[in-house]
Amino acid sequence: MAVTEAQDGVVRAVAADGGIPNWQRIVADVEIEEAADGYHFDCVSFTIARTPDNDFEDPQFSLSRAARDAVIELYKTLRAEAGNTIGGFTLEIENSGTYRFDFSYGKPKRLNGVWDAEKEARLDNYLVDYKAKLAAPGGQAAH
Amino acid sequence: MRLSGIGGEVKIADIHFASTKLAQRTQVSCSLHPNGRLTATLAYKRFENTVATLAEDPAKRVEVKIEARYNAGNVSNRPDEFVASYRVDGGRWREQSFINK
Repeated sequence: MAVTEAQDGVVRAVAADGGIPNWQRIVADVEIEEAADGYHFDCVSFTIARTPDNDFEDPQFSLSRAARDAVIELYKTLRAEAGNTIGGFTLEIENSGTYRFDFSYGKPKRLNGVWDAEKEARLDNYLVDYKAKLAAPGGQAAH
Repeated sequence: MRLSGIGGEVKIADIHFASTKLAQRTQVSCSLHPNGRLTATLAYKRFENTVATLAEDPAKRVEVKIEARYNAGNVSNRPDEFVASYRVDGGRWREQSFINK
């Protein structure tokens, strides 16, 4: 399986999990590590959607088994095709159909008890930042 | 950790955290099916370690919840997987999942 095909598989599965009415962006921060008993995951995923009063909400959702299986396929494909062992990624899917993976390498942090306060705060405050970017001159919530 | 035959609201992690004197700082709630089982696995042990490490910091408020999940068509009492979630200082929930082998 090619890397782009594996990425598409993850995007489709995550979008199926997080797609709700009026969604604008789906965000999934996924950590993965291979262990003796299989693959371990630590995930935080949420959807930014417009509300009826034209504000935004950001409900969380769980990654399905299908999505986690797709992540395993991507993990294996990246290792086989590119020689890279990922520790995880942040995936952002736009309602326009574009997406962006930001991969991290090395041991995943949360799974290994490391709390990266800066990164975790960014995830916790994602909606505030998203709205601030929209309100800024030029008004696009860039990645 | 293994739970069997427990119904209703269960303070599951108190069992673990009581021994590490972290119970007071760790708010825990979970619901298990009356015949739900949570069998210790490497993955679950890792979850415990993640949460215990976070809870060692007295400045952090760590909450934990554990849900039993059933696949469509599973009419048995045995969950297909458990989802253990934690969050720090009221932030987003981080999830780790364990297949109930």
